[in-house]
Amino acid sequence: MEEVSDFFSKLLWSESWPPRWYCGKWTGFHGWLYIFSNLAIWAAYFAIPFSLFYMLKKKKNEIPFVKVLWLFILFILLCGLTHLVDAIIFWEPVYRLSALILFITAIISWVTVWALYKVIPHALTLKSPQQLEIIVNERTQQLADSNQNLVRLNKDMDNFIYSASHDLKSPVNNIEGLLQLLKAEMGPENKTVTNLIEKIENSTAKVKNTVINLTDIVKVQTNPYEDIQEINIREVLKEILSENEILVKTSHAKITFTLNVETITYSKQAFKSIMYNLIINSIKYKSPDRSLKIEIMTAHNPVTNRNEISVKDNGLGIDLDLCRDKLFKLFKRFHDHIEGSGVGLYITNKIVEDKGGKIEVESSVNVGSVFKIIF
Amino acid sequence: MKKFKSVLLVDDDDTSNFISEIIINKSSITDSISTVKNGNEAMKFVSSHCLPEACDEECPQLIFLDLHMPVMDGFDFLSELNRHMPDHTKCFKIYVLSSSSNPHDMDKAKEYNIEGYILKPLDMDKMRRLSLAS
Repeated sequence: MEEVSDFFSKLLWSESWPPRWYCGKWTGFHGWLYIFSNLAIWAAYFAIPFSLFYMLKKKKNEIPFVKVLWLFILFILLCGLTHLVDAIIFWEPVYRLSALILFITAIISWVTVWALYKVIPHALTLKSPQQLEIIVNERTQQLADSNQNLVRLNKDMDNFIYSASHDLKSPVNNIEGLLQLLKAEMGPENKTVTNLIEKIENSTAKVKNTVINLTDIVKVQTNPYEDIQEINIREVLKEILSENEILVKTSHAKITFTLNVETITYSKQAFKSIMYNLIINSIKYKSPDRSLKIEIMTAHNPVTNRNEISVKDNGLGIDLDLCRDKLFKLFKRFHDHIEGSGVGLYITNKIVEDKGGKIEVESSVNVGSVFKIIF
Repeated sequence: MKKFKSVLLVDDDDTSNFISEIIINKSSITDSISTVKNGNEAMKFVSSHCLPEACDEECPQLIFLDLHMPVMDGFDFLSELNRHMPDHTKCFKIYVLSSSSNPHDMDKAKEYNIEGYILKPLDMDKMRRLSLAS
């Protein structure tokens, strides 16, 4: 015990030994060879951990076994220190310090051995870059095959939809035509028959509409909307208004644009579909009490860094308390007296959400609505 | 003098043809209506009734063509027509009369030399517009 406390209290003392130069017969050459080699080793054992440290700093999260690497850095530094002290001893025989550093180095070295032992099984499972490359190529090929399959299925689906809808529409068209002839044959005097015929006509019209709507819905589900381009918003809006000129004219709607954002990169088909649905809704659900005003505004939200387009109208409005969760659902309608299929907002919402966006609605009954699309 | 010497209906749907015939008769644009069931029969009819140089008495002046028919559909008929009778427009006008509102069909039809694309069912309004356009 005394030896231990003695050891530590005299740690840096060199009085009990001669400097190595004077201990035994050291020639100049031999001594300096020894000193130089130790210093070279110390320098290398400083540079190596430094490189490891630099690597760790640069690729912090990507290097496996960070803890083992730190242990390596530590034990190499300590090893280097032992060699430095060994060189110093030629002048200052700090043998106690030397023993202590050697001891610490020994401990750390064995900790590293243990850590390596723990880590080797995992290390053996790691894949080399070449192996990973092969795996990536395999997966890519699988994806490409899968993609091809999907494209083919999509096309098949498309053809199926059109065939099915055509085969449904043909007989319905025939019924329509025959009813017209029947009406003409009956003449206007027979009210009962005329009434019955009209009811048949209504039902067939519904069948036709349902077929058209189902076709539209499936088209949306299967359309990837990949025609992404830089869209001039004003131009596209004008296109929509001119393509639906009659509807717009008869509604006497006053439509204004406030475009703080002039262009947007998006699928043109999808964009047209979305804007068309919102504008048509504003026109359909206009209020009989006032002339229709539609304001279309675009803006860039600096907080979310997204483009937003709002369509604001002064129409009938929606009772959001009642309808909010059903608004975008399929075939859900809230007005009997206005024609509609309950499909427009469903499709619009689907397109927007599929592309990672959102629709927000604000509305008051008999005041109007604002539909905001966040792209 | 009726507007068209004769009209040819190309459609495999009997009911549709029944309706079309009544409407055409009512519109009084012609006295003679012929019907064939598909593009193949239409080709034979047209080749035999419309000689390449002159448009015969019996050559139809107006053809209503359905698109989806068995044996040979409307598009194939139009291709064949272009190949064997490239100046057929001298003899007759073709209107596609179809249930299909598939934009793909409409675009494809426009690539051929057709006078117009009418959606079924045929009615007096459409006939009126047709006879005004001709």
